[in-house]
Amino acid sequence: MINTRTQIKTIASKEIRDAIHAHLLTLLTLFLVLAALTSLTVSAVAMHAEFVSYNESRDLLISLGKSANSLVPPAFFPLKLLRGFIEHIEIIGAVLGIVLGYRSAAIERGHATLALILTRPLSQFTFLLGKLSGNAALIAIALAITFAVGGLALAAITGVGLSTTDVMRIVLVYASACFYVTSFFLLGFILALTIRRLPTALLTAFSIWLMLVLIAPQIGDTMDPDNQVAGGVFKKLEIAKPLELQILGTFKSYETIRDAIEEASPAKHFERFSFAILGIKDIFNGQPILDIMKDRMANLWSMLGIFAALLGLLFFRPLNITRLIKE
Amino acid sequence: MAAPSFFMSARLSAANTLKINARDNTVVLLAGLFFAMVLISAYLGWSATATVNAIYAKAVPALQALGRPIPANPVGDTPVLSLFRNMVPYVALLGGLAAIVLGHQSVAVDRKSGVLPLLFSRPVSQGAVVLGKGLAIVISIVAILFIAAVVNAVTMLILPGLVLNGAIWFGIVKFYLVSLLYLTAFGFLGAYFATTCKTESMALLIPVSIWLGLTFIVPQVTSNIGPMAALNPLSANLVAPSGTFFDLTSRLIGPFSIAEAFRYLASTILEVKSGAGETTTTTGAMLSLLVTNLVLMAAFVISFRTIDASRSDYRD
Repeated sequence: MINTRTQIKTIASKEIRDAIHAHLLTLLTLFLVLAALTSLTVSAVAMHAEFVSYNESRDLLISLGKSANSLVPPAFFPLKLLRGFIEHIEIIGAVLGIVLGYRSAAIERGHATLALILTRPLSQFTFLLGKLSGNAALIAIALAITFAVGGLALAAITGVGLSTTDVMRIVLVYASACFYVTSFFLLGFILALTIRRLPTALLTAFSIWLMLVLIAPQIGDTMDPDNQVAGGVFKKLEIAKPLELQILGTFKSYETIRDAIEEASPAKHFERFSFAILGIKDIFNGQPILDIMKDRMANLWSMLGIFAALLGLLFFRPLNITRLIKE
Repeated sequence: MAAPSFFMSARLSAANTLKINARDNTVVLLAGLFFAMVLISAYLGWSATATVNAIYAKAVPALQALGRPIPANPVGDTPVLSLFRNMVPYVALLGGLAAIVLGHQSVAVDRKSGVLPLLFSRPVSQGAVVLGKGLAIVISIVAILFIAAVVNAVTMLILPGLVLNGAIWFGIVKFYLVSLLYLTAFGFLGAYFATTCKTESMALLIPVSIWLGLTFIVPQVTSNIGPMAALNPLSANLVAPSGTFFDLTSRLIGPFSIAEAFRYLASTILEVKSGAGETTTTTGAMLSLLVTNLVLMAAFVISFRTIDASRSDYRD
């Protein structure tokens, strides 16, 4: 009799082979890489335009015999160019996870092999763990390709080699992206193993994705007091930072509600963690990784909590095979 | 018994498709979510005004104490229609997805149930059936947008402090007409892939991927609007990016960027800045939406008329 480890390995490798043969993973990974490269290129072009504009203003002032000291040169932090890249992982990476989860269940349901597999000496736990391991490996590979291409493109575009610390920061964000995308894999997988009609399962997963990844952060962002007026309400009222913070302090309950809406979104936790580690958020720029990790621990725990809850749902909820048998 | 006329067949096909759409749980779920977001959009608009008023009220004494001049309340500069600015991303996101599903279901249900071979063995024109389905897609989207517009109108009447006039009501009508044009394009896109794909999952995945690309990737290339910034009507670029790169991309890709065209038109109507490229114009954006609709409608009609009516295989 085959031992459990071999069973898991067999199922996992079949998942990987199937996904590669179906070309779906390749297409979605290419889509993600393309989106990431687009975002990096556009960010680099925008940054270049900022530098050109600064140089032109400085040259003009100097040619007029004036001092250029009043001009603030644009700051250059290569990792900041990854902002759009991270946002694409948030949106398209989550879709990649859902599609892989859906495909993993749909392939068994479509071929009516689900009931057959579970009549063999194979526990439901082993079967699900095999599927999860195979797809987690696929997600790790797809994201590794995306991050590697992104990192290389970043170095090529900026012409500045990445330091060891920069690489470490990118690796940390990569690891959190793996958890984030695998959570969406679990969502698609669980729904496709629960809902009677497969297309309904796919659309339900997309609706949840829409609400959690796009709508919840959008509502939170829109409710930000400083986002209520184009250009920022405090800037418009010419209010300095200390007074701004003092006024914002009186909106505590409003801010709590706003934050709760944003924190309902796993995408926001991934974004806050990644933006902090990469220094995209100004206050974290140049800070040691360990200090940032300590500060952003809540986001990390939230991501792991969502992942663990979905794992629990997958493994502890018995499969209703008769409900899933193809009509 | 005489064969039904072309228009009678088209009418029957439209009525049947409308019934299918109204009974479909997924369409109802997405439409319900959309209506909920219309209400939330109204609340957010009202909340924005109330918050700015509250900030202003707290800022005035503080500025007076510092001996600084008191600027005007920014709420005074806020047009009434801009209170509904959050409708722009909600139409683009939930509306777009709902339209794809609606268009998809209009064809998929017949293909899955194996009705088409039976239907086309009768003296029924394929042209009449596809005309009926196309009409049903448009009517369903009109119905969803009409309910959303009524919800908008009621909230406008309920919200305190709004001064309403004919121009504002006309603005709301124009906004929903532009939304209709945008959503029908995705309706036809969903119907086209439901007609041409072999499996229902691919028929949903392909248009959703196109929608993702149009909403999040293309606007970044043409106008440097980041994926998340594209969701907030006010945090997107206030000034359109300039330079050779964006001039070129906005000229070359801009005409195909229907999400940007919709955003530009809708934002202009609601009097908020869209951050669209410098080359984007009202005529160009309208033309882009109209041509996309015509092309997708033609693609759907041709694909449906050439569908192999002897086969009824359409898998999950």
